[in-house]
Amino acid sequence: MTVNGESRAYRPGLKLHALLEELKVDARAVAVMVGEEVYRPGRIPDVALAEGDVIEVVSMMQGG
Amino acid sequence: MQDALTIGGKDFSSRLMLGTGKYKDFGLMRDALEASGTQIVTVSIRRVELGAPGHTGLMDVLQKGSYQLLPNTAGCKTAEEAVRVAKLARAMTGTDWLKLEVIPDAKYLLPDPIGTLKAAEILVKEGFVVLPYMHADPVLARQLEAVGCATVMPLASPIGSGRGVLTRASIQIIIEEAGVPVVVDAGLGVPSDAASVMEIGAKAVLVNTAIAEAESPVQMAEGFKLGVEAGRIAYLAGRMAVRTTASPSSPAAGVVGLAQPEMPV
Repeated sequence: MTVNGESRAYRPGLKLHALLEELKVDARAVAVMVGEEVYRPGRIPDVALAEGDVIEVVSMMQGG
Repeated sequence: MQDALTIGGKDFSSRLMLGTGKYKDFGLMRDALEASGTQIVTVSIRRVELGAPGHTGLMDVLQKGSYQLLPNTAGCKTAEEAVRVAKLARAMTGTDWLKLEVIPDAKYLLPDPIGTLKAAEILVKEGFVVLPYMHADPVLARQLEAVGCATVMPLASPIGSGRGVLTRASIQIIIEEAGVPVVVDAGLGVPSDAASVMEIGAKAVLVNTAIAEAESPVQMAEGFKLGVEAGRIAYLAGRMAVRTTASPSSPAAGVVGLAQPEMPV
């Protein structure tokens, strides 16, 4: 699977909440995209992940 | 609200939008935003650093100020990337508003007109309030308006350059023809730049670097606030006609002269 552009080892049974926890990401402060599905901060479901998933974990930053 | 700026069905009393980039710290950014009187602020969407403790400082500051957030797609080089980031931006910020940027060129940060139009068309259909960053091209402005963009945002000069208004003649045509608010974005260096485009009928301006990189960002924010207000009032007042020769302000008759003007006094 790919997380934020980097490949990451997948293991069967892995779910989104466990992944975010492993990545030390505060699920209340990020938006997540798994494939074409987009989830809001604090409302990220604990979906099952698949080996080929492309995942983006983003937050709001300063910008013009 | 008297003389409100209306975008996407919302009314604003301030015509100065601010970027939140390049400030030395959040405190300075917060103070500059306050001094500017802005009601619309841009933010970017970025991948989080994995494995590092995040911070929510920016969100805290902006939520307390109850600003209309305008997330951008800065960094996107294609329409496809911009559409993807737009969806993340909507999820992250909770707003449908989007400053659309499709910029393939890193040196001058000039937007791709074809990619911008393509992305705008998709995003409008998906319910976004699209404010597209664009070159000062009147034909493109018309096309972006036709696909349903909420504004058009022609650039004055390259992003962050502070070179002022290099595209004035084209901006003037866009203003003449646009049925949506024209927001002049990018390159403004000083308040008089902002005033000068407001005077010809721009509905708003967007400023970031000129304030963030000023010696005193808070003072410069206030300067831009006044510049935008002065320009807007002047536009509403209607400027005088330009003459090629002088026209005396004092009465031509009754001037006290000498009997022999050639004699020295």
